[in-house]
Amino acid sequence: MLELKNISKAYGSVKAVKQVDLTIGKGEFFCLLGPSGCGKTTILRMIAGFEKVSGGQILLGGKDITNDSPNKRDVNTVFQNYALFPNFSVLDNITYGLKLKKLPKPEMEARTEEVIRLVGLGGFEKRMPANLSGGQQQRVALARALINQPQILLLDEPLSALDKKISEQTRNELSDLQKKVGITFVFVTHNQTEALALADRIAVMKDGLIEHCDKPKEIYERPLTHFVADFIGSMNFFECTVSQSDEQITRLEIPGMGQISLSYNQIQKVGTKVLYCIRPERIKLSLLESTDYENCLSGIIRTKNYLGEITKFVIELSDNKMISVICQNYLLQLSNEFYDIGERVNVIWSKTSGELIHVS
Amino acid sequence: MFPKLKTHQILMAPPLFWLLIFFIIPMAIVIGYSFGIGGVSAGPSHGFTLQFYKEALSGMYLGIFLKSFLYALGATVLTIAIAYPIAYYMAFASDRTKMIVMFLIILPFWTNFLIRMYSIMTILGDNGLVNSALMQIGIIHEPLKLINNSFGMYVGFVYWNLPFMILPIFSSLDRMDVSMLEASLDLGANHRQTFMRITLPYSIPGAVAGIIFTFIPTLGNFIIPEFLGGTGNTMIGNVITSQYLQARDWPFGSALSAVLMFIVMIFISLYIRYFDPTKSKNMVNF
Repeated sequence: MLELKNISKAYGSVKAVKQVDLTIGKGEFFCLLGPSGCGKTTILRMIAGFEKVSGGQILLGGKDITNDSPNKRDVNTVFQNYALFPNFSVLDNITYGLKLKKLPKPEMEARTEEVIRLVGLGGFEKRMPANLSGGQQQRVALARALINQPQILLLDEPLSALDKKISEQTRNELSDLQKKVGITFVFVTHNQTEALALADRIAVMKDGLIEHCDKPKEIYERPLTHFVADFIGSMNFFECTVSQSDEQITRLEIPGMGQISLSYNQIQKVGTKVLYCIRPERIKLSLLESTDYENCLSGIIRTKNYLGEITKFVIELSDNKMISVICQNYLLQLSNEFYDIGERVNVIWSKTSGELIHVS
Repeated sequence: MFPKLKTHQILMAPPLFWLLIFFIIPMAIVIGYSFGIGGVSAGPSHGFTLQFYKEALSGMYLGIFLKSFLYALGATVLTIAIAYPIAYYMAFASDRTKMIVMFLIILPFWTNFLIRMYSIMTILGDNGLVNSALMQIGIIHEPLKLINNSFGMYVGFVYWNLPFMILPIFSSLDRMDVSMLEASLDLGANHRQTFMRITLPYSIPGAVAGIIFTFIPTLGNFIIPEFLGGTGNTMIGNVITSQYLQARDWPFGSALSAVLMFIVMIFISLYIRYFDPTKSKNMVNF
């Protein structure tokens, strides 16, 4: 559907995007995720045609659109600041594209009515953009783009200007909307929660390159690189060496702390340096030595933050190594477990919980 | 004791006092003169009379009013035609270029007005820079009449008005969000359609402000016609000046001034009616 072949973008000597290959399928909700300056917006702007590529090719439905101007591309954009036309009413904003296409009036009216119903803007047609709330402006921007029934809808951080509650609500609506219209969405965000919640697939970017491109679950549970593991959610890292590896089990030696075992289906060469990572919510605290879990390290609780549904602990293991642990408050209360700062505890987790990242 | 004054009332007092002394009272005096209620400096008092207005609105002077109006209109149209591309270029140029162009626009203000008028005369005169250059290359054999006619006068008006037109148009275009233009292209408009539908409407408040700054001063201008207009191009400003200074007919000069003021007020109220600066979101602020 949409193919980016080896595209790159340089501003003078600064390379914003370095040789990115990407194929996005029809009807897919695709997310470009990364910190600011990673090149995700530049990619979006190259797809829209606002930026010329420095190298590579963009194919849309098999057709080369690399050098087409934005108005010739069957692609529409929802801008970060919405970029509504302030001197046009909501209706005139929405019908801007159709009026240019000189569609027959009945079809234009039918499409307008449909899209207004779709985004829930009924009754606001005569308002001016300045008299709308952020959420409503965002709907106008969506409607204005969707009404053209593009092959691809590009969304540049459309939720970042909204406050948290509205943003979450809009997120759900956006997801429903995409399923209803079946148009391919390419969504740019720096917010991992948005990306995980919305996307069929995510491409995590860093310094102009795609580090990992996969389904949200894969990205969260089996991150390919240190950056991806760190950027999505929170993560504890251990630098360690493989001490044993076969089909059943891989054992890692953490210098000065002991052994960790994990069921990793790829056999590793003994002596290889690797990065072991474990999510804070997959670790349990216990006063006793573990019986059901394979991994157990001992430490002292240094900080404790009660956050409503969860409590965050930071525990100091030997060698000043800090590890964070997240416990569900509900589960702590059920099992009558209460831990305090300064207490010595065991951190325990299963061999199936952690992941290995190869370090070069 | 004094009644308690609010801070803003105290702050408003000096400007109000200023306006009273230098604007309201002089205007009242002029209007008084125009009805024949004169003091010492206006010659003998005639008692209340409309004769000066009758004279001011007689055929000959109405003709001059009309001519002044057409000159001001022509000068404004020319100015906007030259100013718009410059303002547009500035608004979308780099910050550095913006600074340089802005500096170049403001630069002439540092020179005395008379010197600037004389330099235009030197450039456009019979033996001036343009004519001698053209004769040197042999394009013409006799000097072109470039001043002391309406051409010279238009040059003067456009020269004088250009900054007052460029700056407000620039100011409104400069605040335009580039993503709005991108949105228009994105939705299928080409560059010309984007300009006509998005950019141009967006710059109208600035252009209207520029028209006000250009048209009204030109309507009453008497220096530029004097220097560059020659004998045939008398504007209403010149008539008023000569009534005050040469003919010393202050009541009649005042009546002409009052009519001019009335015409200007019509334009200002039209402006406020359709481009209310307090209501318009993208109005130009200085």
